[in-house]
Amino acid sequence: MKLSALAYELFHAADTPAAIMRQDGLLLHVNDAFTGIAGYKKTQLEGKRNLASFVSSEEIPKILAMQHPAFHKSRAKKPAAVEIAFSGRWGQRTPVRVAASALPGTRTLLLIIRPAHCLTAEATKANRQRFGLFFEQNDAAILVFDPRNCAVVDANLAASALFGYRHDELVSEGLGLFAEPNELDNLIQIIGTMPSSERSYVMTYFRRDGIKSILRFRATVIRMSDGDLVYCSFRDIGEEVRLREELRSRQAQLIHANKMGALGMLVSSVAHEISNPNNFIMHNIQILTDAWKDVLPILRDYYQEHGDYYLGGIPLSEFEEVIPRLVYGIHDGSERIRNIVANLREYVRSDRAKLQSSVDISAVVMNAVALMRSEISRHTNAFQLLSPEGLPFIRGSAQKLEQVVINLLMNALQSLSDRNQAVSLQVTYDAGTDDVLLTIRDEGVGMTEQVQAKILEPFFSTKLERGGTGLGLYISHSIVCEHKGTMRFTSESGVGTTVTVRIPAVLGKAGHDEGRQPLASGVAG
Amino acid sequence: MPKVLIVEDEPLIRLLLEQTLEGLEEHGVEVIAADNGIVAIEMIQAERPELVLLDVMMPKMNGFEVCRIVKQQLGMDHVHIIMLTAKGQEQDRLKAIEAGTDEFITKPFSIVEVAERVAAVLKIGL
Repeated sequence: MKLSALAYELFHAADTPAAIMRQDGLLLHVNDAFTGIAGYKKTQLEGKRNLASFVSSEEIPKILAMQHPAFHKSRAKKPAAVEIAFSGRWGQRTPVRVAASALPGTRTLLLIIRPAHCLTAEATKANRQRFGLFFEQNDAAILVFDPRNCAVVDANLAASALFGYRHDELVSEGLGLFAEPNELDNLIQIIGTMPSSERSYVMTYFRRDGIKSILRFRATVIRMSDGDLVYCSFRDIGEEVRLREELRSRQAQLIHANKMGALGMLVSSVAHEISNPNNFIMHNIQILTDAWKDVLPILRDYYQEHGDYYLGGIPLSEFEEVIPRLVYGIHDGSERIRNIVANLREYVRSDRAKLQSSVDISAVVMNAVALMRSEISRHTNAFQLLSPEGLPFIRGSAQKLEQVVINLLMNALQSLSDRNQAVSLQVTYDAGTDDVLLTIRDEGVGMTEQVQAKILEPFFSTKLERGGTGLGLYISHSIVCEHKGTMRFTSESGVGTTVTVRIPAVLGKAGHDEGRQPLASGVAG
Repeated sequence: MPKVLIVEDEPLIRLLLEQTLEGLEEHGVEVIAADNGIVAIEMIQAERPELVLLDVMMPKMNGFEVCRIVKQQLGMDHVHIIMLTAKGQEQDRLKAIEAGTDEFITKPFSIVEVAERVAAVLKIGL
């Protein structure tokens, strides 16, 4: 059959997929929209009986039955319609409604194919009202977009609350109001390509008040009679991410605390076990050193009489030089073991100590400086101390804090490469936060960011080859934490390091509190 | 233990990515993070991650530069880099490819896709 020119134009220009089918199922004409959903070229469809390419064999009879006179009799005024699943060439299956109208004077049917849910939306206007209510009263922020230009068509109250803009502002200005400018293009692309609601996306956004946070959004297409719209629900997940992080961090702290508790017990027993044999080494090496001094003249006499000979595979002439080095090595190693064990024991012991005394941090600092006087003058001639009297007390242990000051001061001094480089130690009070601050600044070698990230880890040291145990800062930090304080580092490689310890103040000024804890040793000087 | 490095200056996105990938820890993967390009390069050299999720728009040093240094200057071509590009334009994709990236994910992104792509690179079944 041939279509009139006008009918042909209308048939092909229609957005709705349509086909003209003969009684036997042969397709005479298909329009562009039909080839679009079928995924085949017009030449592959027209003049062929290939319904089976896009309709299952069980459903073909449903389509062919629409031509039966009985079928038409019962639905005389409306085109006959059946609901089937339409399979495109690429495997996508869409539920559709196929409406068939007999073309007068021919033995052919005009088939019009529409998505099933489109008709449902069209059919029930009441649903629209219900949808409107659901949309407006929804707790989730919802924006409805026109996918052709990504303009905001509608926004609910929750969207205004989330973004901080009125409905009319959201509708007139759209995505540009809150989206990160360089993410805008991709965002438009996501919305414009009619996304699947199965996948949610994450984006950063700005509220009207300038606060930046992150959103999770999910977009889905709603098919309306007058075109498709994209419905996007947005949720700020910034707080959720922060809370989850806090939880992760608490869990990590808990695990760490448990580990440290177990480690403390282990350390205590290991320290004891190591300390005993190490005492033998320390003691015996002294006897061996003395014995060596006595034996050496005898060995030399033998050498004079009989010439050079071997001891442990080494000729005596070399042995004389080797033995003192070996003995020194054993002694030095044993000394290091003793220091490590002492540090560990101190840590475990101090862990159990109570922290109930009022402490004058200035006095602690003066005491530590007095103890360190010779070390200070050995490393620098530019030491500055600013420790005013009368600062608020802190609650804790003077001995432990003294250990912190000594440790930090020693680190600062050891970082210097030149005696002209300065170290300063300052105690101040921050009335704003009600903290007492201890600031130790050096002009030493500084630290790289990598080193800074690890300095509080146990057994990490940049001075291992110089006898560092990697426990000093770890223990100092633990002590500061016990005092509910913080320890912060700012450092630049080659410029120097500043350590700031903040500990909350308690009531009462230094020098006026009866509960003040006496210092263990030394005199402030 | 294989490592995944997340390089992202926006703290909330960085945390979200860390949380998204924490499930990989069950598969023996360690997730580490950096908040700028310079630290990222230091960490790539020190920690030798198998995979880097690299944001493009960062202060100090952008992701293109980090990628170029890692792939071309340091010769660490074996490090798989997935760039998180905010701009979808062709020009940015070309820049990322020129810098040597293995693949990219555009922002806004799907966290499911990030997890799937990372798991695929590490050959982990999620």
